[in-house]
Amino acid sequence: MRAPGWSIALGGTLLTLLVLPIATLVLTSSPSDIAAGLAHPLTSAALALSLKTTLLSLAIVVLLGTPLAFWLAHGAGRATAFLQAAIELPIVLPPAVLGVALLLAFGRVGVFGGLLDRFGIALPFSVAAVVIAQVIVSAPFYVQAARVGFQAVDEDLTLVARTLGATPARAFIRITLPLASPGLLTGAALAWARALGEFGATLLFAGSLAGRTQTLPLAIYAALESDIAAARAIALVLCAIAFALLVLLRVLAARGAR
Amino acid sequence: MTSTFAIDLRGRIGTLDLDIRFETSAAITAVIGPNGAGKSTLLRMLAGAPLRVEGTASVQGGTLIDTARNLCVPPDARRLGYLPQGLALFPHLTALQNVAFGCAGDAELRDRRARELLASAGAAQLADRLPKELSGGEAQRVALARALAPEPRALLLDEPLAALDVSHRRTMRSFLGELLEASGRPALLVTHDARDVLALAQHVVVLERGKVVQQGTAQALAAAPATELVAELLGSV
Repeated sequence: MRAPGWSIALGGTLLTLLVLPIATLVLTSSPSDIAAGLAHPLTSAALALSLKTTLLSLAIVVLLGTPLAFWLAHGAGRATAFLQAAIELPIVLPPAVLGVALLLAFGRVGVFGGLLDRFGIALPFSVAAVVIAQVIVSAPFYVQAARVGFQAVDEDLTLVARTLGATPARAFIRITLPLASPGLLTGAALAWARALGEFGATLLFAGSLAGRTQTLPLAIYAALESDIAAARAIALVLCAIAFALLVLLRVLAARGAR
Repeated sequence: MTSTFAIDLRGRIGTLDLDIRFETSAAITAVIGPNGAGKSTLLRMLAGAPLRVEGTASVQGGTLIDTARNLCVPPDARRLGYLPQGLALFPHLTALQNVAFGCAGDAELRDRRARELLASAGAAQLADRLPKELSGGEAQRVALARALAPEPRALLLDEPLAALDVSHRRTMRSFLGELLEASGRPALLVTHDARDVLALAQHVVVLERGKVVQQGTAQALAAAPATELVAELLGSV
């Protein structure tokens, strides 16, 4: 089927808008810019911190989010609908709002901050704060995709697996998990990408302490104030990682569909 | 003579009020009735789906459910071969792996047993195919082989011939009859086709709106139908 002209015009406009800024960023940079970006003093620490914290937050999201998604997939009624809305909230709220809320809850003078302080735990402006911010902004993406993935698995398949002698754990591992895996992988990749790009909540709750809580997006922001070339170079590094991640996601999804 | 199936179950599933009571010692018992009468729900309850019911159910003298004694045997201990509507073959496993999933023993033993079952279902050549590569009749054979894998004490067959066109239906019907007779296992057969009932079942239970409205042999039901529906379903007998 050939697409009509007007739909090409409308779709093309959006496509241009989406691609143009990033294409400009990439096309106006030379390999030496990327080399300079990688060599920049802020980069290596920020890159290491970003990888460390996003992998950690991804692990937490998958570990805690999978049971929650499974539970939501098989729940019914008003409570489930309410829970789903609550879980989606961080997707629609500006990250800055989440940062403020995190400070109000766990800040030094926050509602639970005093309690944590008594145990000698101070969350704000720590690596833990970076991870918590990432978990909160990224978990909804994983839980939603995983829930859809679990819902796509026919309940009869699990019941048949059970009648064939499988324990609930075996039925889950051998049948439910492989069949839900496209959803789980999509969710994990989306959550990781979201955590990698996380800026607002991290800035407010964890700060931008170079070498301590300064992730790649925060390093770009910090570099912008002094050295726009460096900011651009670090941005290129982030672009490259994000793009590789999305390509990986497509490959995994295509493999899951087969 | 022990009953093959003895059912006395009550409960509310969705919008349906179930009150199903019957006892049969027939080898093959057909359950017939209109859509939404609770036929599939009955089979799912017996297979062990997590549905809230009260009462008792036993198969071949073995109790599955007895809510008064707080007993509900988990599905993996019921030893029933359940064939749901749509077959529910595991789409990511080959025919052989589907059948082997239900076999006991180590990997080698399971593989051998699964091949035997596939062969007895006339599906030996389909071992390495995925469910999406099977025709309706082929999938049927694989699913039947799988239902027999856990050495079940009875079979629960939900519209096993529904997905087939007329010519395959006839072939598969006689095949199913032979397979059931060879396996020596009693079966509860949900169907809406009078021909299935006549060819396969010695006892017929008619469900309407969650309740048993009549039961007996197909001939007895046809001779004195209790409701219009029974007359319509078995009228051509």
